[in-house]
Amino acid sequence: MENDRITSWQVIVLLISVINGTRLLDLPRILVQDAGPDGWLSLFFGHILAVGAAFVMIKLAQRFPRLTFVEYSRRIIGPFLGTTICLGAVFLWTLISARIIRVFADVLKLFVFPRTPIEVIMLMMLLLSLYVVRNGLEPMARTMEILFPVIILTIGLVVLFAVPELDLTNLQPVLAKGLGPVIKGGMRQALEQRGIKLFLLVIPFMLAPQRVGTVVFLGLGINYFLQVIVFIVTIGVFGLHTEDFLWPVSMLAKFLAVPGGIVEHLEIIFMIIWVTAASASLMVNNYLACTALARLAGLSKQYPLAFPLAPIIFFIALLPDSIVATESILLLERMLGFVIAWITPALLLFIAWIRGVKDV
Amino acid sequence: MRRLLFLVMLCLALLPGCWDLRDIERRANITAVGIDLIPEEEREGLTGEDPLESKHRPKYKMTVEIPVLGELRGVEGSGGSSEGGKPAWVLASTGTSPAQITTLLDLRLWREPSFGHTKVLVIGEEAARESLKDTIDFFHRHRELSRRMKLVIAQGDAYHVIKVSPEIEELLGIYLDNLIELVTLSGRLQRKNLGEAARELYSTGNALLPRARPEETEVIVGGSAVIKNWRLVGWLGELETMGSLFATNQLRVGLLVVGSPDKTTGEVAVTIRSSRTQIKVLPAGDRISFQFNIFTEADVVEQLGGRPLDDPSLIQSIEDLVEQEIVAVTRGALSKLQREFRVDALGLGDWVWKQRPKIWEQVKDDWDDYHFPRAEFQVQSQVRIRRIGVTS
Repeated sequence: MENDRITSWQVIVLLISVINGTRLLDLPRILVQDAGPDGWLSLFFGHILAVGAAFVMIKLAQRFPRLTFVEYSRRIIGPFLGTTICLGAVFLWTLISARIIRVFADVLKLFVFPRTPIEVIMLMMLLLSLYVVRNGLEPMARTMEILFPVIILTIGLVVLFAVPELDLTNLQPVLAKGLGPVIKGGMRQALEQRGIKLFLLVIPFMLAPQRVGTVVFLGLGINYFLQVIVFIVTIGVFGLHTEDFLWPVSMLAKFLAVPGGIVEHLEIIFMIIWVTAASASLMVNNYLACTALARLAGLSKQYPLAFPLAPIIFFIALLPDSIVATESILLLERMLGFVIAWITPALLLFIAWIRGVKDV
Repeated sequence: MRRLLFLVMLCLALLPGCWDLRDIERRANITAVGIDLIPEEEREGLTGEDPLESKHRPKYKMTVEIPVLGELRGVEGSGGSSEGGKPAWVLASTGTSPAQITTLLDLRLWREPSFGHTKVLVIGEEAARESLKDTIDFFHRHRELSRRMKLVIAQGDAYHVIKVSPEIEELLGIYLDNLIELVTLSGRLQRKNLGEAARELYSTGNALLPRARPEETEVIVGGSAVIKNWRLVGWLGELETMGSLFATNQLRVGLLVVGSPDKTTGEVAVTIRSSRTQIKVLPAGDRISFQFNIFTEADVVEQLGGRPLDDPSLIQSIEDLVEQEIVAVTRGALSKLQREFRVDALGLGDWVWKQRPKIWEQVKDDWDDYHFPRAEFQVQSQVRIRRIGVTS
């Protein structure tokens, strides 16, 4: 990791990219299903919980400033258990990569390429990801830095075009069904912010690891605003009808128009968000899987493993029969994610504290 | 060198070709779609010679308008291959459902039907009375269709609407689309596109949709169709439509004619410049009371009788008359929906949910059958006449 160092801002961008992969397009549907018009509150609650979980990981990582999760987990609970957990994490990141590719290709096939074989769309995406992953963390972080403003600008455009159609009374009533649904939705949203697992690996690569707390706050803060804007625009336009669409945000494209009607078919804007966000998230997840596996195998670099892992990702991505079946991958992902990102770090921190294991 | 070669080979392998390439010559862009229900007694004859088909008897007739690109005149008036060629081809076909008919267009059209530029979907009266759900599902699910496409209910057959060739425009789809989108003076029609209609229909099954009446060379779009539980149950007239727009805070412009403010002047026409409505939901015993506060700004544009409008008290009395008229129009629409159709087509239930969620939980189950017909409406109107034109 000689020059594989990234700045704090790059970590923020990585965090937001990895969280918003394919979830941005159906986020409003899930929020409305869980909490109705109070979705923005659930989202807030979810982010608070996610910040908490991230801080547990950071506390843990600060005991071992030069090591990643792969090394210190084995040091805390022994080689066997540690290796099992790390393999679980590698599997999870592989699974996420596969699911992103699949959902990405499904949506593109539905809206843009009805006749192109799905394998081809997936392969393109995977090759792009491999190219970036082989080059390491810093080039990838720079790629995200370039893609990030594109996503922000296009979301800004969407908000702009949506203003004439917005009906903010759709956010009423507030807390009609009490706090129950909000908390339930919030828990789900906390688990949805899977990107925080980034902090299991990324801290030793940071130029300024002492600032990681600020990074978490800023990253999740920006992410909250991004997601809440998307939520408000979607529910402002569709109301509770939001939950009838599989990808409500991409349906916005069919609903909005450039003022003056110069341009129709705004799908292109949503495809820009979709392609950039999904590929960014895929790259990061793919990279995390490769790096964790490489470190587990005692390799110093991740790139020898990028190609061997690719066919596995491709194969898993082809497993579900339909869009509906992809949801089952999501379920598995959510459960594994809860174990890896929430339970394990807390347990590890507790054991490390009791046994007094420390690197410095 | 080897790297370069590899790169070139990779590009050659991956970049050329496009599975989804469809040249514009190979597309038939459908600009307008009309759907009619075939009457029960006529279905028998349509089965044809294929015994396999007899299980699925044709139920719908779909009419599409396809522009004949060579005949379109263009802006300069220089296009057009021949004099008197028709700019649009109107094609009707029968089948069990819109999806089947669209696919079977393949047999009479070698271009691929494309809905990317469809402007209007016209549903015939009988098809709408049968079920709107069956007819719009295909279009709602379709990936290509813009939600900004207009959804119109024809009074009579949709076929006759699509068949109209308007004098001023070459394509009916564009004519009808603009008619609904751009009417900015009368305030007597529902402007609703597929997305907005679907939002209302999928949440309650009730809606008011624009009505279209076909004539010889034009279509008239005033008034609205009342949809109750996905079925057409009746019509609202043009003024009643205006009332419904007042009640839902959708009216922005419009013209009202009121009687003479005193004996020396005649009827006065005012045009509405802006209007907004505040809706308040109040519980009134076991009933629900809606309060509509309508604030309107208007200009006098015509006065029959000729006495100069130089007296502020005269303006005051015109304001009073307009206020009464607005209240009467709004009440008329509300009571027709409440008494005659017994349907909350304006989405007033939504306001109860937004403002009194606890009450909504109690009433939502029999809102349409019981609580809405018993609801109480208080309409208050405030009118300011701002200008009277250039003469007094």
